[in-house]
Amino acid sequence: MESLPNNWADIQPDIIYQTLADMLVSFSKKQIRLGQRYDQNNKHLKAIQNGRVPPDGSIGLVPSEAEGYDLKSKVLGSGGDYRYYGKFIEGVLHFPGVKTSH
Amino acid sequence: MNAVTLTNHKIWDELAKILEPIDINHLTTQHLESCNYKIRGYWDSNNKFYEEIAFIHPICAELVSRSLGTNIINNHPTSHWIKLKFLLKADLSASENNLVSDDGDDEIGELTLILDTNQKVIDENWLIDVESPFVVAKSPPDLQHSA
Repeated sequence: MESLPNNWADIQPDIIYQTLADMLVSFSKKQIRLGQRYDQNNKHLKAIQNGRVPPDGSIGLVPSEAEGYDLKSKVLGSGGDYRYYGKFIEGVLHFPGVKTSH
Repeated sequence: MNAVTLTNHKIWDELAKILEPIDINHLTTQHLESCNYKIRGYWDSNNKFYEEIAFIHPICAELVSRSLGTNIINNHPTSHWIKLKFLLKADLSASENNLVSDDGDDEIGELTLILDTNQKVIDENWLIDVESPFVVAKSPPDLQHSA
């Protein structure tokens, strides 16, 4: 299993990667484009690497309140005003390219 | 195009009324407690990464803005939310030793809380003065991975 790169530019669509927190993740082409466009310092990738965290006060993956999605990536501080959403498909957290404010 | 003015619209009174019962101090204190008075992972405005920001002094919060909104995913409204922004200050009434600077600057930063329609906190963001004497900001050991 490939390790999740720390840079959006090194991520390929629909390949399953393993995060530092031992979670399996994959990304659509649209999600990679969003990452390259809005997350040039790869902060959301660092949050995704961090795995599940308590809902308050930590960067990482936290429960999504949006229906149809399981977790969202949380960045705090600069760049922390939006989230990317992921849903589990056969044990892999897939990011289809959905972004909202918080 | 005829622009509709909302200057005296009842929506603003309604917003104030909806938020009136929320105990601001309770909300922020509860959130700080839930975070254990620490932020784990924070990027400052220069995109410098801090592993941890610890609040080492009692804090008081002042509401500085409130808003209502709706998230829309793929053209479908998915969730309504209330956004409250607070100014965080050192609570100097609780202070025994005087950490405050000569000019009486007690501001630490800002906390933004997002509440769902049941007024439960569902998200947050922070803007912290990492140089403040009221916080301890820890950088990661390897500064090469600062972002």
